[in-house]
Amino acid sequence: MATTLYDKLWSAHVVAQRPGHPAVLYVDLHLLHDGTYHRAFRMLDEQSLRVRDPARAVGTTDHCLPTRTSFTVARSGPAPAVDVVAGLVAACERHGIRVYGPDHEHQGIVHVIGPELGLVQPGMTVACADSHTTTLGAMGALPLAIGTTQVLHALATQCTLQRRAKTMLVSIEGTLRPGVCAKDVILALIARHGIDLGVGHAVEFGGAAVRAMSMEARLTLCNMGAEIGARAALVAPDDVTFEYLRGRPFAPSGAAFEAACVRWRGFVSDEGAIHDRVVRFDAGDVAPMVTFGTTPAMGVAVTGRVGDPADSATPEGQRELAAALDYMQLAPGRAVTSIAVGTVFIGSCTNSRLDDLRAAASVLRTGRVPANVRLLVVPGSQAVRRAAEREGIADIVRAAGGEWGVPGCSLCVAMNDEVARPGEFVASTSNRNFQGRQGPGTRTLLMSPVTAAASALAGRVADPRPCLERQHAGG
Amino acid sequence: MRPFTVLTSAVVPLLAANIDTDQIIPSQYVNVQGNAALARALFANRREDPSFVLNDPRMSGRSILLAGPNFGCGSSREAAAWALDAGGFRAVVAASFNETFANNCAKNGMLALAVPAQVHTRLAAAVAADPEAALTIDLPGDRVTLAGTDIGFAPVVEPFVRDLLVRGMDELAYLLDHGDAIADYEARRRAPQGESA
Repeated sequence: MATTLYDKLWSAHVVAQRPGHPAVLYVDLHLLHDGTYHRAFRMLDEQSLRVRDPARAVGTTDHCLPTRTSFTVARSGPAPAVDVVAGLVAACERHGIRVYGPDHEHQGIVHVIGPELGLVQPGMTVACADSHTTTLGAMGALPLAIGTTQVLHALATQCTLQRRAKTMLVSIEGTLRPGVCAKDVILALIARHGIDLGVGHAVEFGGAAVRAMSMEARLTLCNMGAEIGARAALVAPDDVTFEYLRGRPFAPSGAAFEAACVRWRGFVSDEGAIHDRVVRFDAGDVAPMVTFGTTPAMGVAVTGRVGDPADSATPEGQRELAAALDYMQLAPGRAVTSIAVGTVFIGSCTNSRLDDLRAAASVLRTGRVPANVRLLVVPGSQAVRRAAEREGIADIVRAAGGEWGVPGCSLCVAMNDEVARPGEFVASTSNRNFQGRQGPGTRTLLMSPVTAAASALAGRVADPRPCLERQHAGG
Repeated sequence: MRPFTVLTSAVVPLLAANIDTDQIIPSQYVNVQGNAALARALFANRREDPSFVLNDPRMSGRSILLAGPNFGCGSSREAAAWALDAGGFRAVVAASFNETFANNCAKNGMLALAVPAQVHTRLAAAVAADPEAALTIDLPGDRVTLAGTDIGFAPVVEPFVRDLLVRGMDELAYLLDHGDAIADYEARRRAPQGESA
């Protein structure tokens, strides 16, 4: 019978399932980070349980790691970052779990290093206590976004209880226009279909536009699967995936790699497989996108205007948009390019990979950031940092007047001494524009790395395409 | 874990759609320790606004939150459930939930009860008319009623979750019971051609 990718991944990992009960699902790889581990290890210790298979877990420090200061001096706030970061390293070491502390060569944002190190491979289940675990589905693995209690479960039993999701195929067709990134495509999809599109579903992204995307672009796409409420996001693995994995530190090598590719090729939705829902989306007319509200769905083309509650189809929609604009202090109908930004943040598990930083640098090299704008560029991992420094990207950022940060979640999550000022507009390549996400009272505008870079130079939201076209014309 | 049996309380109405977990507990508080700190962290940024519902002294002591659609969306932080628990809430009744948030509630002995749109509309209207009306959730008895009204319905909760809540059990014991099945699975996977990872 023709089977979907999700169903193949699911079936291969069901350990047991009693009728009417959730399935006991095996976790091939468990990624830990410093954001939400504490209670899990405490409960493990209190119940005198041991980690069932330490070799299937890997820890990294990202959420609480300060971006600028040395991590040993970060002692402010209700839960001092230094204690939280050191606590994860200690807990992992105590239980024999490989862990990448602040200065380790493999350290980085959990959703960046998983693929980058070749830890995440097609056909696996990968659990991580973070909603953006959806990112990892871009590798053709089944991502399991779990809570802290389930971290305990996965440590103690290598399993979590899971319910089978419905399946959805989002088929993205067309060719992306110049200056348009995966980030723009997913923001446009969310603006069209809403933040609940994926609820209850494992969403497989397919179609010509996805097949044409680089691995890094697919990771961005699946990252934002969390913003449509999807239980999992997926992309079927193909040659792009395999070539990305070749030579990575934890990927198989030599003949084993070739054998793995043959096996991995099976993890695709069969011809004729039936998804519970199919959504078709044309990426050919997507423009660079910017959000103006407090959910990722409140977005518009950079050439467009702030939405008007009066245009909402339902009274609830009107109230929600009106409340969002009240928080953002933005008038309906205002051109988004008139919004002056105070901080520009380029980084996060959405957009901190080498391709993202290269794209941003191609814009940043053409100018300087105004004195009243702060530009913060934070590579997603030590490997990205090293490569970007070798290529001169860090120098371009600094020459433009920006700061070059230490790899971590930084200003996306604002739990690491990195916050924007109250009331400030933040042009951000991260994934969430919720109230207070980047610090109390901050106003987040989500966009792609090139749009953020263009906005940094302009001091206000800016269309990146004129700058990119000028460069292209000039060779 | 405390068993969840019969709960009676007036509700705290917070009906806006898409209340995300960054609002429920801002990220800088996610790693605070202890119930007092978690209770202070609950809606910490929203409470800066004097008109926010939890600043209304009449809401103090209430243990049921009446929420709108897609409650608990965004970050999967389980601290959102812990903060609500620390703040005295034992149940959230909503038009719909983010699934991870609802799962996290169940793992902490809290009920995340989604109700059909029509029922939700009636509940919200009745509570607006009488903010003191007591909602009773009788989980073993399969009945939810709002005092002084004719609102009454059977809560739809997955039987497995309902059973664990009523017995005050957690999922870990259930998983540990599967030790042999897990070992068998691992042995199968170690066999040639079985390993997919």
